[in-house]
Amino acid sequence: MAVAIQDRTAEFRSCVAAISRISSSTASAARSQLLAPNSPPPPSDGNAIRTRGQRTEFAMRAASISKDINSAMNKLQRLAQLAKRKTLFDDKPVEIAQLTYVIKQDLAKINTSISELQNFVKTGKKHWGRKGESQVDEHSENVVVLLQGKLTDVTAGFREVLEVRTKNIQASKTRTEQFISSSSAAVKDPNFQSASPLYAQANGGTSSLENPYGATGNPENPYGSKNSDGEYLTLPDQQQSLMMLEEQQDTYISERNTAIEAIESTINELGGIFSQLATMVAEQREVVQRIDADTEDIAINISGAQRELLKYFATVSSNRWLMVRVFGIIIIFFLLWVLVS
Amino acid sequence: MKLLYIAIYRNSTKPAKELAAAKDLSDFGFFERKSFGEFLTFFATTVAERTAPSQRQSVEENNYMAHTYARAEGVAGVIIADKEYPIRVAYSLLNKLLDQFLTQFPRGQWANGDVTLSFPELESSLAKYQNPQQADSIMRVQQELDETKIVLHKAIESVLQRGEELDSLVAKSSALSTTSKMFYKEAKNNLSSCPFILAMLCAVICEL
Repeated sequence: MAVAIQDRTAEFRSCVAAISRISSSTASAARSQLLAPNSPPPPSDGNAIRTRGQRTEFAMRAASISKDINSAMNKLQRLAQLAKRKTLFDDKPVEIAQLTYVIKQDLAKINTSISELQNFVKTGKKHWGRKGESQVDEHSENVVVLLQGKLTDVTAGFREVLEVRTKNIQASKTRTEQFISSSSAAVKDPNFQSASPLYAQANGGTSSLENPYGATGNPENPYGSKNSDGEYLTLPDQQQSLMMLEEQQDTYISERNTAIEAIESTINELGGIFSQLATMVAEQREVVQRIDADTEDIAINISGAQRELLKYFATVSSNRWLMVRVFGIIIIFFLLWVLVS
Repeated sequence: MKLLYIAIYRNSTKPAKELAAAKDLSDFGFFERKSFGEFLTFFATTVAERTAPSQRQSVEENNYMAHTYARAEGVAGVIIADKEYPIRVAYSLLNKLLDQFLTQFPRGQWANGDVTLSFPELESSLAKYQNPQQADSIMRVQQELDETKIVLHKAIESVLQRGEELDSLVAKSSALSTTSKMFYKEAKNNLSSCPFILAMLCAVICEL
């Protein structure tokens, strides 16, 4: 298998070196720095080459992030397509759930990588100092802002798709109730035919229940109990039905348990959301303080300027001759404007 | 999701005796009601007889499910509902009703003989539990929590928007502050020197 794979790293490296030599003779400094290979910096040249390596790394990171964002956007489009379907029966909940989960993870990952990139840019700026490379700084910052903007777009689209999906689920449920609840048991799975009068329902609430006998379930149970806590032994009739009875007892209790645990987790989530809200508002408080300080500065400056103008006006109005001089000059000025334009 | 029938049986005797019952047959035509009601009673009697004390049981028949809970005292509660009705809610309702029944009617009243007791709770809970989402406290709490979560998500969105607007405000106010500072400095520097400059200043500001 190794024969098919050829190692052409050396060729690649020589190509890159040739290109960098060619472009460094013609192109500007910044471009060549971006093209320069990511070699380890010689200790004498320290800062300059480190900046080059950092910027290349920045470009690579930004490129990978934008690739991730694009793939996330594609998945989001597919999810939007799936969520728009309004059929009653052909709904693909598994695929939708999987996609949602994957998209969520991707978004979280992209978020962390963008914040890493931002930190990277900030620490990089400290190294570079004020060497007149402010344009590159600006470019990096703009790139980061652009990526963040794209990420927010994708997140907003994701949220919209989820809302559409919930609305569709509710609509389809009401429609199902209208049409199916009054019809006969045509939708019933024939496997679930109640052979015994002690048939246990097929509701999925027991999925978390452990088999009371601590054994794994046997899905091939001829009595069709599709609970995950299926029978372990193939007992004769009565004992089997007894076991199902006991499971039903536990079923009820464990179902209550699950429901209450669900409530608890929802409340925890709510607590998390509240604290997030509080954090965001606290962050914005700082911004508000800045605005406040700025507005006060503006007020002070304007009042100072007004004072100056008043002083000037006092000077002017005290001397008639000055006023005549001023107006004469203004009129000459206007005449000049009119003649020129 | 519909509740059809709630009843309390005495299953210490065979055949089980219906002590109190409530039916909701509004879905059926006028002529079907009687026969269907008898079917329900028969179904419930059979199931109640077959339920041992301190045991819960759910039985399926045609289109309907009967949920039974038999207590050790010799009474059993039966709820007949359609298949979609959540089982947990049915059992918790049975618990509640049986407790109430046992506190309200001491044993002597129903232990023997052919009695029919009047238990209006059955009718009221039959009506109330037609909507299990609202009637069952666990489900109601879950529903309200979900609604709260939606509201909070909207709140976070609005806060994000507020953040963006604040950012633009900050930019504008800092720009204004710089401009006003320049204005002040220019006014201070220039107005004390020559009055001609005032005309220049006005022209510059008009052009701005």
